Amino acid sequence: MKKEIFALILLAVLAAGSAMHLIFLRRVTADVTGLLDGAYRTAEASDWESAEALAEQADEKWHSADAYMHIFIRHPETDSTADAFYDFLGSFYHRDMAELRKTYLAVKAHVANIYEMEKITPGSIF
Amino acid sequence: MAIVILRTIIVFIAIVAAMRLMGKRQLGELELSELCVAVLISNMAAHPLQDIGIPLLNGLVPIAVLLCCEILISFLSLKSEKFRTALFGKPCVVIRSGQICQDEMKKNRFSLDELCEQLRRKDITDLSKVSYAVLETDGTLSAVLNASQQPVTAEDAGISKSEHGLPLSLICDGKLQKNHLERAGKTAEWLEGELRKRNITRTADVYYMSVDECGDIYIAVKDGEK
Repeated sequence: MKKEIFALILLAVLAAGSAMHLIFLRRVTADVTGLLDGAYRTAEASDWESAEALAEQADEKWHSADAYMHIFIRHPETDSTADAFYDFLGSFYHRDMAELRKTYLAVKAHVANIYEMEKITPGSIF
Repeated sequence: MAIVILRTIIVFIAIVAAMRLMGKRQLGELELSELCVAVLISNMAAHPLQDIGIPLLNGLVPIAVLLCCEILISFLSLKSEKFRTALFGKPCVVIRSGQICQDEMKKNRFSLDELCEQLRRKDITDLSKVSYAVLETDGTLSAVLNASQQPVTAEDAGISKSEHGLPLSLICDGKLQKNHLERAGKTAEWLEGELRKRNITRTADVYYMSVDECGDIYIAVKDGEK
């Protein structure tokens, strides 16, 4: 009976762990997306310095979860998101709104994908 | 991670169902769920090893989930006969009173060649000698010979034989098995005496020595020591 109880507990722990993982991902991606949106809106208002500061905050927030992402998310996905962040930050140096929009949409899509990929939907299961 | 868990459970159920539908012939000695776990684990563990882009957890979590599934299925099959029958099926009698049950053979997609092959593995070459044959849930065949073909036992011959019990190994490759010596109720002095009787001075010279419950001793001396 001990083994069966252990199996049930292990399954429950895994289920709880995966629920916590989803909650963490949703929070991180929502925070990062909020900062990215703020950076883009501020840049639209031509306040490039504040926009860049917000973009760097978003980048720091994302990289603070880097180790976690590499443990739980497929590495190509995390690496491509990191690349998208570099492109987004790079576009601030040129101060070109068209380029910024392109890189902003790309990084936002990458961040959103990380959560969407892990979210339980019929599409993601099958 | 949740997707990995759900996918593992779905794939496990799908493989169990598929193997169940394939019938007993596919199993060989493993039980159905054990075979599925063996098949899945070997595949799942390999992926993160081959592709370093996949987190190791994606390989470890399915293994943990499969282990839990296997333990819970074993428990449920132990507790519920209905569950056991649904999952593993029932043993099928393929030869009854010397007659081959052709319907059962067809139902299990068990050919005559396979029946003969499995019987030959039991040293039975003549079908007419078999009284009953049962295809077990793990795919193996059990056979009962006709009464006239069964080997004569001591009881049949009216001979009384003493029970020898399980022989205990006392020396393995020159090493004394102290726990077996105690379990056999013997002492080191007794062992030395027995060895001396056979002109053996050291336990290290003995390859194997055992004693059964009647006190019968078997000794094999190491090749170079003869």
